[in-house]
Amino acid sequence: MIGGVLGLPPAGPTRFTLDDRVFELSVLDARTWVEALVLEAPGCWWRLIPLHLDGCGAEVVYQRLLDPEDGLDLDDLEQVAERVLGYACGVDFHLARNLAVSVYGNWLAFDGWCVGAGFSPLTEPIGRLLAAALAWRRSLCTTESEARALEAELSAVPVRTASGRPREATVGQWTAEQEERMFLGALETLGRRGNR
Amino acid sequence: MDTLTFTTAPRRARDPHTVPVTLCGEDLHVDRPKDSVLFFAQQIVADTVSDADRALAVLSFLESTLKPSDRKRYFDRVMNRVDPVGLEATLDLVAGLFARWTDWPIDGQVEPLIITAAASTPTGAPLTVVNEDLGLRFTAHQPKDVVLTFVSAAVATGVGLGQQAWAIAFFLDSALEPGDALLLAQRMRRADDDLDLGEVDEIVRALIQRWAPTGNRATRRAEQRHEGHGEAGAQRGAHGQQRARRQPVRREQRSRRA
Repeated sequence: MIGGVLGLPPAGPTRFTLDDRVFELSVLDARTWVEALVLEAPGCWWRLIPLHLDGCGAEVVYQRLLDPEDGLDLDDLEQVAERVLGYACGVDFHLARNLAVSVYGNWLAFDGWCVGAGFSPLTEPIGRLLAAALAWRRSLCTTESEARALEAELSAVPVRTASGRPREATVGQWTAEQEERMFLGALETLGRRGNR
Repeated sequence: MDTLTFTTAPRRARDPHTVPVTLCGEDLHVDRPKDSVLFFAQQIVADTVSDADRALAVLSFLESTLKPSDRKRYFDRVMNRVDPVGLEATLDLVAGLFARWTDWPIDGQVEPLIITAAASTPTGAPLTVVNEDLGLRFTAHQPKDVVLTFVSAAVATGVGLGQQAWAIAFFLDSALEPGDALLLAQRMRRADDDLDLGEVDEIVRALIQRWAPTGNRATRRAEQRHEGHGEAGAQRGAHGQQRARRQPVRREQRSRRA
């Protein structure tokens, strides 16, 4: 079971407040989402938040980031963007990003698979495209070990934040189940190497 | 519609990574700015950005990094035509700070940043600016290269009205006699005066065109080295005289009264 699924994506624009100011991320087409998500961090979120915020949202955020007296810094914005974008996609931001990267680099295969399934990925909301991407990747797994390797691949989180600091260990999110899965995945990888 | 709520935590207390700087004879201490300031400042060293964007990135970096008193002093020195703080010293300052903050020593004993630059008073001859419709007649002196770079970048890149107004005021303070700059500023504020930001902007653009810095950084450095020495210096001097013989800037501006 892939972790990081957050529930139903919102039906319309995604609204959030940052220090009592309301910002809104308008509904974007799947191409815009994918083309942003595949960028190296921080481009993967910066291209969407703040650049696609409605009104003067982008300018407000930019000025706050440059203001020496304002507490908002790059890593704070990264946390906000990851939460909001994950919410808009219906899955954890990093899972969304990893899925987007995998379909972007194999577009012909993915799109072809979608044609067979009667699905047009670029005309659907990003949440649906990501669901299709996950189904496609899973359809390629023929063994349990491949499924575990896929899970590890899609759950990968960058080791550093946008500013270059190591990400703080998110102890609360690290469950015994996850640890077991990662351990088994690592064993599998080591076994494959040993058999070569 | 659900709304996600975020609150920014108070600014993290971290080591300020203070760099002692001697900028052309004056000491100051510069603290490491926010990560976002350093992030945006990457444009300064990027190959893919235009000169105007790079200049704006330098300006933005200085505004967000220097303490208010140091910032005021920096801009005062930049406007002073005989002070050695110019474009080269500014770029050396930014590069030196960047180098220290990206490779901060574990023991915190950072090497002081010492910047020296020879005073290079602009050589362009004063220009007379005339606009009879608006009753303008004043003399403009060529400001330093750093002023021309910042102001031309602000004018060219379509930054917000506030920053353009600041850039124009900065240019006038650098190029005009103090009395003339004050008079222009007062006239622009008067509701019954036809002189507005648009007309002054046009004059500033014309002056920048006359004095726009040419060549890249290496060329300017080479020119500075040769200035006043040998044949190259003599040729440059002749070029300067040729420029000095040009006609005064006469803007045929249409007054709103006309």
